[in-house]
Amino acid sequence: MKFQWLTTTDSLPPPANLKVTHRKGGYVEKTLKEITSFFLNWLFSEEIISRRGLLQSIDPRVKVLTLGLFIVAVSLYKTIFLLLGVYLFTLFLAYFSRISLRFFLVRVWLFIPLFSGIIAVPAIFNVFVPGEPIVNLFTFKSEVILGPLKIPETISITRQGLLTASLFVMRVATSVSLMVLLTLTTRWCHILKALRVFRVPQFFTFILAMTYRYIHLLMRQIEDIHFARKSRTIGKEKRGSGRKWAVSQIKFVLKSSLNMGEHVYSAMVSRGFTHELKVIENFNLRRIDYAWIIFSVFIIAVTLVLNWL
Amino acid sequence: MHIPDGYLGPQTYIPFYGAMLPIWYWASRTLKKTLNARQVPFLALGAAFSFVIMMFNIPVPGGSTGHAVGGTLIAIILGPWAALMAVSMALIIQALLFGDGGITAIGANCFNIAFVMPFSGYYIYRFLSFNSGTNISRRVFAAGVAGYVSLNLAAFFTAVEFGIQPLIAHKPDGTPLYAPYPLNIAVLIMAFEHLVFFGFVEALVTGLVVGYIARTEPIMLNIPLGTSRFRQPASSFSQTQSDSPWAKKTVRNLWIGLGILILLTPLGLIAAGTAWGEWGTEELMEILGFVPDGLKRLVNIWHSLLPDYSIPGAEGPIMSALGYIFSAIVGTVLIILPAFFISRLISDRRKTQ
Repeated sequence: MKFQWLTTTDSLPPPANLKVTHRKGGYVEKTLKEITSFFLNWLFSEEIISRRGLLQSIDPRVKVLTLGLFIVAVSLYKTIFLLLGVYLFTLFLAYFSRISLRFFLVRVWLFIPLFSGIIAVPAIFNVFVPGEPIVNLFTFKSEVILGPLKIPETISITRQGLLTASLFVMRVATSVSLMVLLTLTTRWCHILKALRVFRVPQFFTFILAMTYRYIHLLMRQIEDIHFARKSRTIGKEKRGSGRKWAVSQIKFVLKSSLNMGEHVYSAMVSRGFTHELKVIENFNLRRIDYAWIIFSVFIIAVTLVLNWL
Repeated sequence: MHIPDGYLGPQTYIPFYGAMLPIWYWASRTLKKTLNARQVPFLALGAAFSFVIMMFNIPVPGGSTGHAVGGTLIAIILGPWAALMAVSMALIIQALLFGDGGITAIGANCFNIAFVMPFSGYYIYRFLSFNSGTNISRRVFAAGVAGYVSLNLAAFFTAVEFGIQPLIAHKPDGTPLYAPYPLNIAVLIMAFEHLVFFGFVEALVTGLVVGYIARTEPIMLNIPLGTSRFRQPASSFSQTQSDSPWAKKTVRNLWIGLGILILLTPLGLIAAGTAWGEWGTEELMEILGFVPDGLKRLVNIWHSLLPDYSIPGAEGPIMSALGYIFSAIVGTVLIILPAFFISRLISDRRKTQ
């Protein structure tokens, strides 16, 4: 057999003096990781959009409008109970839209609400938010002034502090949940179509549509560039050479995207683009859409009335 | 720096939408005149680029990595109006599709990142690189400073938006409804992060990319081709491998810029009054009528070092100017030395590993 060496496995042990080091982190790996998570996100959403659930079956225009109204309402609530109520409601919506709750919770809480929660922790002390103390922690001899901070004699956890931190975190988490519900159950082109209905000028929606398409293309390009770099890098890089390489690649992507803009324009003109855009819009609201509108407007109205009472 | 939903109350986010609508309208009118029908693909690709530039992590001196926002870089290449539109589009897609930045905060985010940053960066760059012709080092310096200052301006606006929340939106018992920290803390923390770390990453990326473009394709920066004394690198690969002299030159120019800034510090003597927020006890006495107790105690500690940025015992305008310069040098050394030692420490540890 001529190609026998192809089928044999190399069983020689590596030389004893060979040191294999796996470098963690690094700018190439970090970039590749971010790009992979971008595509993964996109794939997951595609899969969820095609499931047959509650929110998936509602007209995108109705969905954008009602979930948008919910987000505005969430920004108006003054009590934690209303926020908790709407948050539970989003969990129900996720369940009925056939999104696994674990996936939904992870997607929502990582990263924005978690981050907000961390930055909200210091606010529970009377150092930042003055108010009625609940638990006194330590007492100093006198007030201390540290730059812009005035640290009071007794450091305590305040009622106002706890309330503001929980309001803040729940408001962020509820808004993010609503947004995630919208993006997980609606195609981007449908969101754009909905924006057209709300009188967002065509100029903007057209650019948004094209931008989305070319983000994917440029992402692939960057992924290729970084894989090429990774697979050709052996040993240690010289200090500063990675920076120079990244800078030259940024310029390369910039240049190629500007060139592509020109080419796309020429291609559009040669295919009969007359600077007028026609969007095919087919309005047909079904019964479920009307029911959903009535239901969500009712909930928003009731919560807002409770909020102002 | 992308503000999520829930950080700003309607009293803040509605005015920012109100501010952005005429700005967007004006931008689309200006662009229609200058770009005509080409604008759609041009802006779409510009927006896609401004989305993906954040993907480029670059190694930062000291062993860490970071990425740039890119608002100023895009403004330098495409002009401020196109940058406004491109960055806005990228921000809208990030908000609507990836939940990066809130829906209610789109107005505020676009104001900070797509308006304040590209415009301030563009005009700082134009001002500093005025008449620089083929002088590439000055352009690198101008772009770096523009990136640094514009990012810090954008961060400052963001911090102010957070910081006014407890003032304008709270319950009767004083519980803040949105972002809980007052103005002084919000500004302090945002300014610290951006002055110390993110600003330098932005400066590095903006300066180096502009320098690279000036050398390889000066026409993109409107540098006339025939007159440029740029060297075409044999290939980008060979340039990354060899320690090319231009990188050393860039660093040298940054040092020269720093030196000039130090020499210019006595200019502060000419300016009347004191920088806002930098009042000494005497000025506070005039403004407030009293000096807060805690401040008095702090002042005594600080005065033991260089009082009023001058050498004790030196009188007269020339001596006080020299005192300023001396103080600036001491300050710079105090900042650079720890940075130098930390970066040495990190790189040494890497070597031993």
